[in-house]
Amino acid sequence: MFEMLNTILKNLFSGPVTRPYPAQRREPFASTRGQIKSVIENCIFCMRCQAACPANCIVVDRKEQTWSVDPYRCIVCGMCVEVCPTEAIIMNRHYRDPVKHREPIVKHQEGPIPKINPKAKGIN
Amino acid sequence: MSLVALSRKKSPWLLHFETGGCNGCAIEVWACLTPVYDVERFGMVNTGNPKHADVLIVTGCVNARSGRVLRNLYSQMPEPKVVIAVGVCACTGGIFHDSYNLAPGADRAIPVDIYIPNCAARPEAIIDSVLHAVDLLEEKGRSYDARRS
Amino acid sequence: MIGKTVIPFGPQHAVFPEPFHWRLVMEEERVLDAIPGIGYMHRGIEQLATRMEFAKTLFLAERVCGICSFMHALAYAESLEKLMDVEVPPRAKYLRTIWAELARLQSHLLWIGLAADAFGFESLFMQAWRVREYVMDMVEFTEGGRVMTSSVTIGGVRRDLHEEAIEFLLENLDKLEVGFEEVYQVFTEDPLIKHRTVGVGILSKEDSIRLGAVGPTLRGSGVAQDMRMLGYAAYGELEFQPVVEDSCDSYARMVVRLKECFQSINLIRQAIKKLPDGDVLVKVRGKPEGEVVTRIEQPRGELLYYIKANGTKSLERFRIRTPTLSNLPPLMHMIKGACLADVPVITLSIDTCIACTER
Repeated sequence: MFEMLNTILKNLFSGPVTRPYPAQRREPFASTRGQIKSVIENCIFCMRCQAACPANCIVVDRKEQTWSVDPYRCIVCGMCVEVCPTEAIIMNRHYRDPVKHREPIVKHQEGPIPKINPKAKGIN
Repeated sequence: MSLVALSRKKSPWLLHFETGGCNGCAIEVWACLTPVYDVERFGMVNTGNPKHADVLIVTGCVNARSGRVLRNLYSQMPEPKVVIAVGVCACTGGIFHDSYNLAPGADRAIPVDIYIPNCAARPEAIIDSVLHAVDLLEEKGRSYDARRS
Repeated sequence: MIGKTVIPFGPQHAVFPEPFHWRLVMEEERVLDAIPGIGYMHRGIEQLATRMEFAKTLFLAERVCGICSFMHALAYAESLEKLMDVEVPPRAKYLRTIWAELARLQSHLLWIGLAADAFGFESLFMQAWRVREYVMDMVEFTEGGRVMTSSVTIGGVRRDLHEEAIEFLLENLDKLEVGFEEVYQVFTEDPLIKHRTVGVGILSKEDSIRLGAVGPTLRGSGVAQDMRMLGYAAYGELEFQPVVEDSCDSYARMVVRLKECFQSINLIRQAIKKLPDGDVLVKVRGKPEGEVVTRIEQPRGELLYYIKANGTKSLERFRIRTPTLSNLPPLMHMIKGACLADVPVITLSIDTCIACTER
């Protein structure tokens, strides 16, 4: 009987555990892998991200100076961020929004390819 | 607004079918139904019966065998209906896109209205998409009623 | 007297998140025979692995199963490290242990919720999943993803635990223990749960060994077998004993899993206390060559990886034997003669994971 009273009192005076999601958004943790973003100005078109991607979702075209990703195939493993020598791909901690039509993201670089010295950072 | 249209908007019922991925997204869909994320706040109930459902949630990549079941479930749902493809496997096949027995995406089997990217899809994204689905359901319901009258 | 009836069960069923199909041959209320129908979740992973580079196959192995994704990545990394003679730094070994135990906790809590749902105990299902969110928070904070963690790599781990993360872990472990204690009490004291599980799905000790059961199914039948005793990762340096129950029914298998949750919490605390300093990753060069077999204790039982490599960039053969496959013959043995209403409970009592089994 007293055990039950205990539970009732606890449930009466403790707040709900539900996160009131759309009304109040919780800040994602600092280490969360959300989505990849390209900083196209830094890209030297070394093709390492394309080679490292397990889902083959990144296509780099050195001639046309374009970098494209199919976000609806990306598995957010973070390999491209790890192998990128010039920090041209960064990991964002916010997840990608749902959409009605899926389209690849294509980034085009203007001007000559920057001469940034790639540090030997990659695994392969 | 008719009573049917109002109830459609206030309480859309969910039908979840895992077509055969890794279960990761399926668990996140279940997590949405439980206290911490709780989509029942919006009047949504998980149902096991396609004949009661308004929103079909597809997780995982579609192969020939599960595609048959998926089409079957889809055709049993009453109009209007919304299909949500959860996770990259249901969108395009994800890491398995190269495999010999998979269709690249659930939209090869049934028409998909909303795509959720990420592997695995986050519960917040699922809640977002389900709220989108409510609006879409209202829109589709209006055109469906207009066609019938 | 009526004749035999065949009842289809699945593939779309409210209790199971996975498509799993049984054709139950019934005589009145008793199940005479159960014929499993599979193939709904086949993705061709083993064949895909022979076409991908071995470093990328790690992510493929991780996606064999979403519930125990970490365990599959761990098994793959351990096998390739054996093939390529890589010595993993001690800190990485401890981190792997911590994360493996977190994966076990979340898997068991998930199962506890689903089992409660199968009994028709909806509020307990909700409570178990509420407690599970503490584990998910810990996983996300330390590994970066809720389900797919991608934290293991060949030669170590990809992330380090800093001070703040360790504090977060310890704080959440306390909350988890308090919350789980409540769920545990309901499971062990509630007469309704006992009524549904005690004496249901008997698997005797001899049968469990003869039919090749593994994991909690085997330990629920009184056999103390736990692959963690082999001492992979840092398990060799931590103190624990396999949880064993003797009553051989669904209740025993349930209690094994409940007690393993406390064991996991204890193991994480031990590992944090002993966590050594140093690097977490060694560089791996070259290509694998040879054959290797690795055994790892998954939440569901023994996971076996067989890898054959021939010095090229992709593997020659990649074979996984998952615990659910080993547990299917005991399950078919248990289902024969059961009531129709007990079929979900018995099927859940081995904790089926069809995604692993069909790959």
